[in-house]
Order: sequence, then structure tokens, then C-alpha cells
Amino acid sequence: MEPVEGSHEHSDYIGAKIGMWLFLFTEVLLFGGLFLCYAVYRHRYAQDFHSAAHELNAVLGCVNTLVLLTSSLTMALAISALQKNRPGLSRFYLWATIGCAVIFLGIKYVEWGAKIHHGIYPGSEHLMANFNPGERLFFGLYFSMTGLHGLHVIIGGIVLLCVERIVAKLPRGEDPGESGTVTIIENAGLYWHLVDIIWVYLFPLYYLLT
Amino acid sequence: MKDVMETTAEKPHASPYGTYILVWLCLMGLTGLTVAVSGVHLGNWNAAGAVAIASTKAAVVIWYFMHLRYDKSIFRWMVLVMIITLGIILGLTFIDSTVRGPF
Repeated sequence: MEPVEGSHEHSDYIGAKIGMWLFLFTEVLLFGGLFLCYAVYRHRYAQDFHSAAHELNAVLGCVNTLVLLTSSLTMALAISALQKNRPGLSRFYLWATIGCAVIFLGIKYVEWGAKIHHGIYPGSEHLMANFNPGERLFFGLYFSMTGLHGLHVIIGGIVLLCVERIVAKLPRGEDPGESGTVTIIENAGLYWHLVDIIWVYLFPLYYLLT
Repeated sequence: MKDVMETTAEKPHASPYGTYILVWLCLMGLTGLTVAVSGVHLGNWNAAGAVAIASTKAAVVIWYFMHLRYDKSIFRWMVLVMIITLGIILGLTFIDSTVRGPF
């Protein structure tokens, strides 16, 4: 039987993307609930939230913002490169994105390490003895929200590693659009950009409102 | 004929690298702006300003990096419905918690 023109095995490009967006919406609701918590408690303990924010290192937070925004750029470039059938360039940009993820997590490790070293972590003796209830809530929310976000960065990094392997194994001369690889890298990119967007909100709300 | 048209519409759109560099510079600039604004004491307006700038950055990321600008209109509608839903959930719950008095 003659194959119908325009129909091929991996043709449901739009369907795959809709599925990815629907998943992203559930992620938005997950973080949305936490942002709601933040807003309610910030409104209730405005003064405590202001004083607690002084404890955070705004310079490290800012550097991390620049790192994640840059990783979003390299992610977009990796997708563009594969769409233009340049797998080698795409892999270079994917590694750059993964590198940014590692730098981000390294800075986060230093930040969390310093806080924990100074006795600031949920339920610590120092926190319970020397801080107001609102300040304790601030740090509880800080650790849970940046922690959940950091988990997403780790998962995103692993996903990007898998995508890099898939692109590396593309047979020579094969159109990445036809084999569905472009769909895979685009959906991984959507996830990565969402992780970036969440940090875009976390950064000013925790580090800058002092 | 119709089939052929649908197939071309489903082809992913490749954007020029230059556009992405400009978008990235714009995001860097907005980050600088949000840091600068936080240095000025505006009371409650500091939080509003921070959220407004962050939302601008998020919109830029969604529009260019997440390809909403180039994708089919169904994606724009989906994102719009999601933002409105989130706005209703967050907005109404927040207002409720502020007018209800102490826990």
C-alpha cells in the first residue's frame, strides 16, 4: 500500500507539545500553591520577612539568576541548531546548558551550606531560639521552595543529558525533524525554560525585598 | 491540498540565533532593573514592582524561548487559560486570607 503523503511515523508534533504544556501547567500549580503560601505569610509577617531576607546573600542569588537566564539562551540555541539540522552545534549548546545547571547547583550548595553552618535550617535550635515566628516561616519557605526548585534543576539536567545522548546517536544525514528528535529536544527545552521562569520569581521575592 | 497545508504548518519553526541573543540581553537588563529598583524604598510597592518585572521576564521567556510567538494559536489560548486560572486561584485565596482576620 502506498503511504499517504505527509503522514509519517512520528507525525504527532502538535499532540506531543500539547501534552508537555499540560504537564507544565501541573508544575505551575504545584509552585503556585507555594507562592500563595509565601504571599499570605509575607502579608501577615511583613516586618519579619523583611528582616529575614537580610540573611540571604543577594550577590549569589543574582549570579544564579544570570546563570539560569544564560542557560535558557543556550537551550533555545540548541533547539534552533537541531531544527537547522546541525546536531554537532546542538550538542555543544546542550553541554553549555548542562554546565550552567551544574554551576547553579554548585552556588546553591555553597549558599545552603553557609546557612546550615550558621545554624539556619528548618527546626534548628538557633532558629527556634533567636528568630521571630515570621522569620522562621520565611526560612521554612525559603528552604522548601528553593529546594523543590533545585530538585527540578537536577531533573532538568538529567533530561538534558538524555537528550544529548539521543542527538549524539542520530544517524548521519538523517533529518532530526523526521525522526521526532526535534520534538524531544523542544519538549525538554519547554521544561528547562519553566524551571528558569520559576527562579525568575524566586530571586526577587526572597533575595531583594529587604 | 488541505493535507499538504497542515503538514507545512506542523513543521517546527527555526528562529534566527540573533533574536535569541537580543532576548537574552533584554532579560539581563531586566535583572539589572529589578536589582536597582529593590535599592529604592517604596514600601509595599517594592514587592509589586518585583512581581511586575519578574512577570515581564517570564512573558519574554514564554513568548520567544518557549516559542509561543511562532507556535499554533492553540498554545497561546492554553497558556492564557492557565494564567487566568492561576490568577483566580492565587488572587481569590490571597484576598480571602487578608480580609478574614487572624487565623
